[in-house]
Amino acid sequence: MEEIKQRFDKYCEEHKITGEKKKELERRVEEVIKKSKFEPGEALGIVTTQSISEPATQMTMRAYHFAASAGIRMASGLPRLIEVFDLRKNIENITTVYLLENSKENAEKIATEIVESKLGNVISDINYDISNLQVIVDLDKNSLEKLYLTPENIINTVKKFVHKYKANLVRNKIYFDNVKSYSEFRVLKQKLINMHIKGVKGVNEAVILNTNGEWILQVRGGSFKKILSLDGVDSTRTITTDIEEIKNVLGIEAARQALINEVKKTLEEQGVDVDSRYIGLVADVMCVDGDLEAISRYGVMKHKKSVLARLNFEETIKVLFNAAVLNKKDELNTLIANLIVGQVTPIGTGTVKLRWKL
Amino acid sequence: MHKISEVEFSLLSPAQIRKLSVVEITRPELYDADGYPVEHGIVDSRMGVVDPGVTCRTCGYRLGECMGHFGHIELVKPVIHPVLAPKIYLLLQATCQKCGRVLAPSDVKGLSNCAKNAEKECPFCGTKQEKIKFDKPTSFFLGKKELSAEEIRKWLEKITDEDLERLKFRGGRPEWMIITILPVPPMTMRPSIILETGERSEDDLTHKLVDIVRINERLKRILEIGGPDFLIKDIIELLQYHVSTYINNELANIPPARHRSGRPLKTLAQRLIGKEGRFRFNLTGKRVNFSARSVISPDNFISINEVGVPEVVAKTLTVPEVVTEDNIKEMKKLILNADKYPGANYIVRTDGLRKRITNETKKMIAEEIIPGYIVERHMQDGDWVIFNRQPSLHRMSMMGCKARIMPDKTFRLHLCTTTPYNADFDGDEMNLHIPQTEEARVEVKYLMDTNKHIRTPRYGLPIIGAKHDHLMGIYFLTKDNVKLSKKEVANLLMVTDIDVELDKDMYTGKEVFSFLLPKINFNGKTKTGEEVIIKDGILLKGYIDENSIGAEKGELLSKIELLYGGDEAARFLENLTKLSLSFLMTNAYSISLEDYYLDLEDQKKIEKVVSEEIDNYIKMPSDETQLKLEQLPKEVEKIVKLKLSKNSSARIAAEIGARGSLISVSQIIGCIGQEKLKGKKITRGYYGRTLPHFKRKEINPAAYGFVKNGYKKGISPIEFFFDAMHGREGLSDTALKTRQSGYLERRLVNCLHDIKVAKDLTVRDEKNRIIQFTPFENNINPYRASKGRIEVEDLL
Repeated sequence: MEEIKQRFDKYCEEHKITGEKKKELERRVEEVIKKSKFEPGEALGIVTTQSISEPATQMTMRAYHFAASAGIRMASGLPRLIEVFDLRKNIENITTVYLLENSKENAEKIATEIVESKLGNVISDINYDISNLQVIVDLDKNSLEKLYLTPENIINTVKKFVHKYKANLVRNKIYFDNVKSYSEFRVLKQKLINMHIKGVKGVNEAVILNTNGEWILQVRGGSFKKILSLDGVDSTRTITTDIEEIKNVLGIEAARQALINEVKKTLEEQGVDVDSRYIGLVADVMCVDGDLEAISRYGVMKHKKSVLARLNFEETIKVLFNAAVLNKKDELNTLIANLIVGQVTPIGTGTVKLRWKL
Repeated sequence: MHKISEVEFSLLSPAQIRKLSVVEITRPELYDADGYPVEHGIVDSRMGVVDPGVTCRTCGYRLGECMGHFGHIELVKPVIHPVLAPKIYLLLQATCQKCGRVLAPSDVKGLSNCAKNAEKECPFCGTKQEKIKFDKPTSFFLGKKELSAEEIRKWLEKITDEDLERLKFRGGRPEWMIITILPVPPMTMRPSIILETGERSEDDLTHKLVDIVRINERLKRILEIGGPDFLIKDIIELLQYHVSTYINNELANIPPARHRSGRPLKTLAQRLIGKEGRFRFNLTGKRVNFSARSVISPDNFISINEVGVPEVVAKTLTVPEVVTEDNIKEMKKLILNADKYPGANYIVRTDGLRKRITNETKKMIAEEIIPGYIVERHMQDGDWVIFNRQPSLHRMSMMGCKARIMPDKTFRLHLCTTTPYNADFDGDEMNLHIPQTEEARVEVKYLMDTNKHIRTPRYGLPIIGAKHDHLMGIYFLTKDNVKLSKKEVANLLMVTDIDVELDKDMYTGKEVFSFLLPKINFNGKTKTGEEVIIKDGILLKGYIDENSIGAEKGELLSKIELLYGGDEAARFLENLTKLSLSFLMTNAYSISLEDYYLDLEDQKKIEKVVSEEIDNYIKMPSDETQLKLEQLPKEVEKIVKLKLSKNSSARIAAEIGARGSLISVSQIIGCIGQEKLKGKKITRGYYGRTLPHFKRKEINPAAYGFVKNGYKKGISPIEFFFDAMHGREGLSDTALKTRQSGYLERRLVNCLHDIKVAKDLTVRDEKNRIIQFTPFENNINPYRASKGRIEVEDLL
């Protein structure tokens, strides 16, 4: 309200409105502010639902879309909206990484730090020398250089990873002694190829983008926490699409904001116009307990006290018998419960009583 | 009236069941040879009446008055309640096999916690506990030995009441979960129906009860004569199966009981669950009287908050009106009219007796009425009704209207209200409800009135506004250089309710439009970005289009609503639509192929752009060139925008927002562009190619759904095929989408419906927890403020 008053004063100053005219205008502003206030009993929850789900019928079903300047696949449209409200675990979460140093080279370097590399990516050959019972791994120098790694780095990680055999580095080759049989070699080979040598586990793709002159990375998968802790990553701006991760790493307030941003983004992409404060209310409901709760029978519904409201939703039999065994009472505070027993619902005009009997 | 304050859930005890029961059922037969219900049979007449003309033997009431009475079956051997079996399992795990005390440490509480933390040795009697196995749905094993229901019952009886409190088992004694006596539901709950052939067809529950009684009696006989153990065991198992399926016929691991025809029976649980179950279908889905449904058609000459009601409907649906000193004359007149419109159908005397008004009785009744009587009169002009179109996706799908009785048989609605209802006139039907109490009527008038719902709460702009032809007409009227003679202006204004003196000989279109406007200042932009200036209610510059008055967009309309209220905005809109349409009738508008004409030179230019991009892609196929291809229609649109004649009807329609878009126009003139499936270019089909007309791994975009032709020029058969693929995806999309978004809505509304603005103006839920301290962060209702904001400029 204060903010509107300030804007009003500023406007009057700019347009040189004074005296009677200003008073008249001020009266009008106050009237509109008064008129636009919420009234007690307003069924905000229902209006919110309608405002979100009515345009949802117009949204596309297309599950994915590709960000404008090509590259990474992003969930979008109705499926994404459902995913967010469900808090569904999606391994394909996109993390947008902002960098401290803005250059293409830096972006490329950090991309190698993030994308998971396995030993299999940097070796040209693995052989088993039967006569010496030796396994020989040829390292590919070019791909090592691309990852800013040296053979010494590799041998150190290998030594930590493989304890059974002794590993030696000679020039660009790693030798494992005393590998007794071919089947042992096969096991070792598999193990080596899948060995993690660099990057964040689970990240399989990173795309370098230039938006408005800034080089950023879009990364699929991986732990948000680990990406944040990398050097050269601007941890104040880097953000992910995984709400649960944001809650764990940045806290519930951040999760609430992320929820709003995600839904807003999804709706805007579809050209759907919804006042963002409705999304804010849904986010508030999902976050009131200080923990994230999904819009489903496992989340918000589970914590409803009203038995009748829950058994009207899903898993009727289960809820009913649990209530019987625990001797639950429904105090008829909810709309549904009152509707079921045939009474006036406690919302809107139902929150007040009429003294005069008609 | 008494108010229900609480609903309590608990288990039903055998003693209560016996107390409820009026008859013990012992005979599996239904009717005797004469067709009368058998005494102690499953349809014993003491359990209530379902046939007309019979009085109930228990309560003496007749059909419709008798609510029915329970019977009971004494089971010879107890059986386990199939739905409660998991709870029994937890109890068995949590308590000692010998003394029935809780095994868990004393600080552990709750049933499942105690079951999880049970000690291997009883802390009270020291008995070593054997492992309990639960074989779904109803078998229990202690070690290797199977436990009978009797044994389990004995075990559960041992559990003390203090222990039950600790286990939070509060719904009754646990042994009640073992069924020893089965309640038989009243006949009113499972009525038999008589087919046309005269045969009786029994309810599924009755069928199931027959099975239970038959097996129960057989078991009784075999126990009496002392049959072999294996036989007894088999029959108990069968009894368990029948009782289990009687309660829930969709249990895992046991086959559902079936009707003779092979259809699974609908037993107790199935009656409650799901969309067609008791809860969702009957208890939360109420049905109403005083409603009507008919096809809708448009009528531009009624108000926005009016609905045209056919006379047939008006004569059937009535409004109760209390007779007073003031209206007794009119009421008498209505009664004397009887079934002739406007008349009345019934009167209700002060003692509550209803009398039908017929031509024979009308004179008598008219004499009889005194103040205090209620006359159920025909619906009349101005009665408030609720008008609705399904699916009711938002609150604007049900709005209050004033009835207007009309000839013919369709409901008539104003064209501007099609947007909130999402209605069209290709056969759509809509519903009408007539409120029957004064409270309801007041709510309809003051809360649901269509005029009060011009602005949508979703984003704070009018959802009721001008569409299609209205925009066309108003554009032709308000564009520059429209001159009208005094006579023409008079003829135009005749259809509106504007009352002005015409003192000039010639008027411009803008001046005529200005007659409609209240005293208002407005600065806006047209869709194409031109300025619109209105000062003191006079349109000075620019023309009026979708951005000013259109549904879901109109900012001018929004401003009028904000400053002068919904009724004034509605009046403005009504006048505007009438004026616009009558002007359009004098100023023909048509569309033809010529409106999609470009000069040969420009046509070539488009072709050149298209083929260039294709060549670029072929030369170097990459994400970038593919993206360029996908954005080709936009490039073509630029050329079309530049070169298409300003007078092209298609262009005008698109630019003022009356119909279509420039993208579609350029798809007709120029090039359709990349057809997509699942957001990607088409790659599916044969191995390495989409159609056998192409080579494998071809790079030409035409092989992957790129359509280089426009609809006007015509597309090749292959292009047509790709176009159809894309079109079909759209169709299946919408089919899937409605289901998905419907479920999302259901979940959202179930989670959020109790959230309301409390009396202290905080947002609270049903547990009285505060969700928001100030509603919507700044206490501005988007339903009451333009775009959900208060802008000082808007108020000038």
